[in-house]
Amino acid sequence: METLGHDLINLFTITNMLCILLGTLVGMVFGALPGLGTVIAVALLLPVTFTLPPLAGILMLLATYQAGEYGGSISAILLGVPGTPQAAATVIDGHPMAMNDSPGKALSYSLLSSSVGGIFGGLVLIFVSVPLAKFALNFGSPEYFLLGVIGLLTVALLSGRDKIKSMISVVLGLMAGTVGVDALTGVDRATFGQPELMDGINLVALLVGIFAISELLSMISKGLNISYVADYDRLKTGLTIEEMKGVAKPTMIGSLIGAGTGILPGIGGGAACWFAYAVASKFSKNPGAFGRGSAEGITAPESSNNASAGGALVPFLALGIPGSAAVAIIMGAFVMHGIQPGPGVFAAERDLVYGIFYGFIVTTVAMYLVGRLLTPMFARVLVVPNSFLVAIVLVLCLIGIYASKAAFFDLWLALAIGVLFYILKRLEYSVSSVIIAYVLAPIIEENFRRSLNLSNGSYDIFVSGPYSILLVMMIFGALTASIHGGIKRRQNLEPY
Amino acid sequence: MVKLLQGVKRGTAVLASLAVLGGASPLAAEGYPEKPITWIVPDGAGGGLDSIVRTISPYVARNLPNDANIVLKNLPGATQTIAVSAVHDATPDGYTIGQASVAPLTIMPHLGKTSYAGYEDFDLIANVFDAAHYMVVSGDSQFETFEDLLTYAKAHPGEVKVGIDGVFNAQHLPLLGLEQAAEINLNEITYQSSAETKKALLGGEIDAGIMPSHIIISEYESGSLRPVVDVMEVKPDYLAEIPSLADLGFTPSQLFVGVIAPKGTPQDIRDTLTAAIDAALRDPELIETLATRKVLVNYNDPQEYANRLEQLNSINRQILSDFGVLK
Amino acid sequence: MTWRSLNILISTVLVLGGASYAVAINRSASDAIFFSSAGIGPAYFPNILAVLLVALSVITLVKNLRDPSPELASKVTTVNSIYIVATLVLAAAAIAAWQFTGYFYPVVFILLALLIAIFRAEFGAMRSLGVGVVTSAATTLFIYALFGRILQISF
Repeated sequence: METLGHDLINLFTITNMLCILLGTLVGMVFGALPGLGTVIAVALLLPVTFTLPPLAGILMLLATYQAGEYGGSISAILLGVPGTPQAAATVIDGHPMAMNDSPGKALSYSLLSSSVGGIFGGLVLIFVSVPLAKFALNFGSPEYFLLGVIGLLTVALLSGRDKIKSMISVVLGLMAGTVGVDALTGVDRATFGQPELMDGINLVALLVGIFAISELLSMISKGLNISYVADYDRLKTGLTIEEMKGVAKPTMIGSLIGAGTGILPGIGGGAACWFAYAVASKFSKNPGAFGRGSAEGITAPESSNNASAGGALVPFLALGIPGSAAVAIIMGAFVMHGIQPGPGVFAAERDLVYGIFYGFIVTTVAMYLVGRLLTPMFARVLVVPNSFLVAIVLVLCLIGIYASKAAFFDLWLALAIGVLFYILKRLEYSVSSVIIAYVLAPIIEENFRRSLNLSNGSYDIFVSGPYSILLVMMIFGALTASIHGGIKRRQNLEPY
Repeated sequence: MVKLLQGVKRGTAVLASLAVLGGASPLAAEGYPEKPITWIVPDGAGGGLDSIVRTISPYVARNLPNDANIVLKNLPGATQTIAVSAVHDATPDGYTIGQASVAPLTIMPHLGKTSYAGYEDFDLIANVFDAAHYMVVSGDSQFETFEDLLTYAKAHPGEVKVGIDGVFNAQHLPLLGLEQAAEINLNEITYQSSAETKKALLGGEIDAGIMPSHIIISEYESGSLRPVVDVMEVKPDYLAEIPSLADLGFTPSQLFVGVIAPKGTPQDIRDTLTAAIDAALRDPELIETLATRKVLVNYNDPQEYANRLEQLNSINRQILSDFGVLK
Repeated sequence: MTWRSLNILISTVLVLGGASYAVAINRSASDAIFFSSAGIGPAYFPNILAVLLVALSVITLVKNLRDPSPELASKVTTVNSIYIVATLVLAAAAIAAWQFTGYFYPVVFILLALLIAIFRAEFGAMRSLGVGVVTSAATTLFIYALFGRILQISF
């Protein structure tokens, strides 16, 4: 363990620790502000890292990434407004728990499982990154298509009382995902001549419209001069050992799924949280509680999105392929210092790579500590009367949308989407299904068409490898299972 | 904290380049600039091009008279045409300039997707850097050289799968042009980014892929990827031994990124800006920073920049017209 | 408006939306000449989706019309609907003002002050306006300090 000792001395310098702290704070705050999110936080801190030593700069960005993944859940739980797409699944159980039971407890579940997920992702990174990265290469376009289909099947678990309306939501999400210049032919699709739509509907505008604006309008209806929580006891944040034990299984499920999805570039945390939610509800002893403030329903997606952060670093460090948008920006810090991620980096930059590995675990610990300190303060947001909350969150949403692309078009779009979904939500259309379908639409469509281009039109390509056959079997398994058993429980779910 | 760190960086950099500043400061164009200059970046914050412009812009500001201040504005999207359109629509007073690659200037106008007709609708300031893109095969590929690939592709039309990072861009058109010139038919497979192409190539899904030089260095050294030909005109020194299309008797393509201004910007202001970019790109400190990041600095004055755009423009127009998509 | 008519309205909007989406897609898809060898062009999936949306919306429409339950005949009531409309109008006005004048911080200040004043109107006009102005000034300053100064984002 000589190298370990050596690394740790290099790691625990004052500069590194300050950088991790700064990154954690920025990430958590930006993650929590609707619309801003992890990617913008990392992008804003990137220029700062150019002046720092490589390890300090990279750790600052990793801390931002980790904390942003947790931060997005803070607003998801407290306001029902996910700060990041990866936190969208957390709304389903986090928000009801905050409303009906205890916001402090909901945040604690989220922080604890995020930290466990983060540590798990870090361990995966340290011990199996090279073999895992090689393994991930087995997943090509046909496998991605099949994974996307499996993702779409999980929507069935989220659907509300009215099956047809849930299906409409899914179709709307898929349609939203097809808008823009078609990646394979360069043809404009339903852009209506708007250059702002050429790259597709901005995810931030969609997310803010669907969740934030529609939720703000509902809050106005609930009463303007009341606050959500008057009873300060409910802000308490501690968890008992029993409560922690109760969420061990979903947290493990989430960590595994998050890390597994994270290593596949382009799938990312946005889909991982839904996979985790669906699987955890399948394996739960108390599936009826899902959708009504179940602790399991919070911890599964929460652990998965932080585990996917560690996972996304695997193909990046081992192959030089960034696994998510945030990692693509973190790559800038590497390039700036002339470091080439890829097979050579483990030999050429040994100290740096191991510094990053162990530093990643440290960023998770920092996230836990800072989160623990700030959680009671965040929970207090719900003591603020709606009259202030609605106005301020609305302004923050507008800033968040504008900050992502500097396009006024996106602001109008979000406002329109917000009104539409406020009405759709009252008519019991499912809103979560729209987001997951939007995220999965390009994964499904592009990879399907690309597969057929690769095979010159032969459908055999979808059953040509061991992994694709396995995935096809999983799809059939899930379909049969849902036809047989899943139906009765589904009917009880709230239309989120 | 952010401000502080930037301030420190700026301070030391100013000291280091005082000499350059003294020598290159042009005869001030009647008080220009009097207010901050907006530099439009066709890339999101944190993107590859964004961080290059972010690195270069302070050096350009330092070489402008009157304590010039440059503000960057990110307008990503639609193959850079949103940003280039914003430059096109700006007042030509020297207070709006923009960065642009070749696709929005020499490809997108031909597809009828832009509000401007072509690069002629702009005043050119200077070219800043070039990029080299290579056709790359896997380390264990049967194709040792580019000629191997050509021979095989000739005998097996439509069989060789080549990954590119998008359609109608600076990878796609050169590939189409090459297929015409070499009389071969390849199966072009489109990905969303060069990182995806690289993953597909490493995973064995495609036979070859076109990728920028800087993302394959590590794999080239370890032998897992093998660049076989440089598709572009320039050649980075770390891949000097790989032949280019020109070496093999084909017309190379070009990928270069420069600074443009709205048409009608006063000549003396343009000269001031051109001189500032020229001086910035001679700054040893900037040269070293960009070299670390594998950016191939290539200053061209407005005339040379225009000539290169014209040449590439006619090549691209020809390719698009041959494929029947010219608008 | 009753729940039934709101349902009818939304189903109609969705049908029209699906149709215009399909028209837009098929108009531009005729430009596609590359990569359509496998028969799965850029309009293939969108057309399936458009048909699905229209079909499902029509089913919902018919189900809604045939559903005898009394809830559907009851009126849609929205608590504080005046405030919702006011919020949307103010938000739209603020975006428009920001877009066309380019002044971000004054717009934010006025938007926040007005929203809070309106939301708190029940506490008396002067008092709520006072609270609105003070809260708005503090929030706008905070936003300016965080985004304008520290992070140097220009709005």
